[in-house]
Amino acid sequence: MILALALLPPLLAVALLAAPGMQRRVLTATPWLPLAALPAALAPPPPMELEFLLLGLRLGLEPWAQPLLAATALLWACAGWALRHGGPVSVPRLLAWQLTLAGNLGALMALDEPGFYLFFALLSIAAYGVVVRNRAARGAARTYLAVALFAELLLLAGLMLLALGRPGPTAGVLLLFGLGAKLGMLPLHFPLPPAYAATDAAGAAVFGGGLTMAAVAGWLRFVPQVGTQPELAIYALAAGLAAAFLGAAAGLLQRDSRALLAYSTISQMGIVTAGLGLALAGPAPLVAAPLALFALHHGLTKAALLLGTGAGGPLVLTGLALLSLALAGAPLSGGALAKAWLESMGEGAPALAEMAHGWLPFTSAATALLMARFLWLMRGAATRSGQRGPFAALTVTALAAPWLALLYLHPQPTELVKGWATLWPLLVAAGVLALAWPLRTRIGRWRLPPGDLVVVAAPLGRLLYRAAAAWGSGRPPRLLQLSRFAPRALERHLRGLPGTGVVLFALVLLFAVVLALG
Amino acid sequence: MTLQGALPLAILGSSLLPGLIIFFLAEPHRRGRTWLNMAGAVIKVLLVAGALLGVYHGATFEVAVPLVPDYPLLLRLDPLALLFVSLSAVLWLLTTVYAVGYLEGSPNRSRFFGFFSLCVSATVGIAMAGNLFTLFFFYEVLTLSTYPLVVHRETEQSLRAGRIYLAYVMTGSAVLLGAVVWLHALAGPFEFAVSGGAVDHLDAEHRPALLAIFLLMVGGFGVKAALVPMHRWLPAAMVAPAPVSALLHAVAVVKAGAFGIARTVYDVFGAELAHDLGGTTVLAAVAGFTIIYGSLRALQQDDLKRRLAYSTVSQLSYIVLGVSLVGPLATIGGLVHLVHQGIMKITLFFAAGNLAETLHLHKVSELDGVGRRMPWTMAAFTVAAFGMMSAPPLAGFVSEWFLGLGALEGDAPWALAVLLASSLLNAAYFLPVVYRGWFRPRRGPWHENLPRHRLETHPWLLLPPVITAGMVIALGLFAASVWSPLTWVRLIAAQEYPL
Repeated sequence: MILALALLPPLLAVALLAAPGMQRRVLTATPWLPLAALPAALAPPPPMELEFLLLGLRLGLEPWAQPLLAATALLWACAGWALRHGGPVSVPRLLAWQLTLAGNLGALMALDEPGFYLFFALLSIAAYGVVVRNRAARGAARTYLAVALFAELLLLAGLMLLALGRPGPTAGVLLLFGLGAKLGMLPLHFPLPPAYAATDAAGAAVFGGGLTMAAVAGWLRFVPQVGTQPELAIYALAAGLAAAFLGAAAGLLQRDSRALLAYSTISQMGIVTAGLGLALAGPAPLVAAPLALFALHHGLTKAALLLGTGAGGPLVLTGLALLSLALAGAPLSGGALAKAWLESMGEGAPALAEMAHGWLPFTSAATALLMARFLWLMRGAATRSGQRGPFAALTVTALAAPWLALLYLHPQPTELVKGWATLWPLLVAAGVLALAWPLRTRIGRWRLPPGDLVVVAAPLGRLLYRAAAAWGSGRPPRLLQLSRFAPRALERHLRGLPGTGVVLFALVLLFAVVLALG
Repeated sequence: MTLQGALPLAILGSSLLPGLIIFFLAEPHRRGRTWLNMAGAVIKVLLVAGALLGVYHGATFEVAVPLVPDYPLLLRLDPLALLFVSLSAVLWLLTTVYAVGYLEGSPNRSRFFGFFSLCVSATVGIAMAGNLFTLFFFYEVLTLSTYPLVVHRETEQSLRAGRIYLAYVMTGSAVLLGAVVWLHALAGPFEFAVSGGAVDHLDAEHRPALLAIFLLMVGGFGVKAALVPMHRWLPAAMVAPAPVSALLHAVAVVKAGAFGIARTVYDVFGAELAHDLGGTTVLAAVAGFTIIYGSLRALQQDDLKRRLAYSTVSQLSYIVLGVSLVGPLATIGGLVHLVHQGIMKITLFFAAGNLAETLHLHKVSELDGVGRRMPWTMAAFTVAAFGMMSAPPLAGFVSEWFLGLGALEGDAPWALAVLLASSLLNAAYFLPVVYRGWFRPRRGPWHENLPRHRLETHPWLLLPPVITAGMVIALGLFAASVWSPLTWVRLIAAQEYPL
């Protein structure tokens, strides 16, 4: 019962919103609603089956999913706090907020395929309403929704294959991309940076933290069911590494702090993708718990950072610096613990484990550089009242929660405390920073439009839609439109690209060196 | 006559008798007409509920009225029949409520409600038909009694739509009649088989003829089921009043076509023989094409009802696809969509009718901000539209889940791809409507068509879509419960594909 109770408050809030005049009260209650999930996360009952619901809904929590649920609840509480004090909220947006919350909590708990799809689809579609907070956010929200709907269908097909008892590489690919779209898996990553940039700090925190934890939970729950798939494993590893480094590179060229953090998500989730490769390489090492810990650390830290973009001031900047260090895997941080655990899991698949040893520290170095750029962008941000409380609360949670989760999940957590191994990547990053410092004004001029591929994908999507809508209606399918406006948009953005080229080249070189050493 | 025999006749009579009386009621007798209609509809729902209970517990209800030697008018309540009967009974009740509100003060209401009842009687006749002769008989009654409804407004446009309608469906009927006669010439008189086919005992030498007959029958039924390229009458007929659209798209006409195809595959030929002949392969290909074609055409329409009409073309073929993929899971998906599509589509047409009647809004591009003026109507529309996109936990998702599983089970991944692509296209043509209604602001005052009510529109217009939208949610959310159509359809599938 406690499991189902976790879902009730947001759904009740949805019902209340239909009554006139309840909007203000629902908004006041919004920070408290997610906390109903805490009992389920802390003292989970055995899985329950609601056989009359949908196609027989099964709710439950694996051990690794419990900390994720607790973290998600706390994150939504803090984000709801920020939302409440962040200016007027329209009724549709408040409604979307509650539905996204219900979907997020449900996705962490749903064990059966249709049930998981139900909650994940709810989360995906309702999140559109969280992004579209004003006219300016419409384009980003539409792009997000188009890709999200496409990814939903991949996910559905993958889950159908599992439900029918036909796991295999096809199911694996479908699940990887279907859920991976929320995690910025290449090449479905492009909606994320514009979406983060377009929404407010509270909405972005939900995107960067809540949605990523739900998608990772789906990966950990369903992808191992497709069995050992060595070829898919290599692909996941390569795609993950590519995302880890390309994401960091593209993030360095951002001027909007939230878009930069979106690229950081793409980069960090690349690490999870690569870790999932370990699980697919089989004989499956038990990567679920370390990857869940990593997702928890990243989700909370990223959400806190995103809340921080809406706060500002010297104290907030200090908090952001601490969080940045944690994200870069500084000693004793959640990032360091999760990465150390991940490295120790590779024993079942020696070749891949070797690679893991080789590249993981370099992802930390890349993240450190990226976060330095982030702090630089945030240096002059103005203080906003009412936003510092939620930021502080979530920062404390983000720094402490990985330790608590580790104590719960790992028999000997002290084994994972590393000193020098976690310190030198930061020193490498500091060295690169020192070398690049004289060039900072020139590098500062380089830029990449948030969402890179989106400058091609969005016009192309619009064109396809218009062509389909005009076909057979007598009007010419305006194919000329692409030639009219796409090149102009492309050219505008391409001017920023030389910088990307340099950074990319450097990173590819670094990547090659790592591979050669591994 | 026994109770077993009386029940099918009572179900038929509960709409036929009021209909016949209404023809003779003078126009101003509004109360009498409404009472007769409502009483008939409520009685029918109660009778159907009793029949459901009886059949669930293994009772059989059957009556044969001798008409032509060897070919009696045979009415029988088997699970498949009841699926269709209960759908049309429930939706008839709601449509009657809606029609009373919709036609308030307009001329020729006695004619309208008379033919309306006749239509529904023909539909339950089709559903309960126990042999091809009976099926064809009621199928023709339906064709003829629908025409006066399509041309009800007697405008030039609706008369033209009526001509197109007749041209298409009469041709289809002629083809169907030829096929039925041919089949009986080969096989002699037969009833629908309870499991397996009724004609699968025929020798192998008849196979080419059987394939030809199968394709002709499916083609004949396919006209009403709006399979491409026989679909054109359906978008043309959208000029009819909204209750008629509900009847065409959800309760009776297109459903009769899809139901006829299901009977042909399952109970005339038997799924196995139909598959072996290669007939279902052809049918699946046509259905797949229709699904995509209808969705693409829907995308191009600015007129809301036209958009919904093309959407019906597409969604109806989900049923045909499920039937033609041959397999227990696909059968479940296809047959349950017979119910789910009806309830979702009737919600959409009720809502579209409300927008047109209340605010004179007919085009998608005019709907900016209507969610504030008519929140309940738009909420119902939104729920049904999301159902059409197969979003969980709505009814459409349950259909899509089983259809998709059936496609994979039958090693037809292309069919799954078609379904998923169609979901995406559904999103492409429904989401702009939802977006405009809720997120865009209205510029200028509304064109108020009705006297202002305390509610957003006439209560008889508002209640039906709200109820059916609730059903769209409930049928998905509680799909696994004992009282869902899904459970009933599993029963039918277990009969067709005994393990």
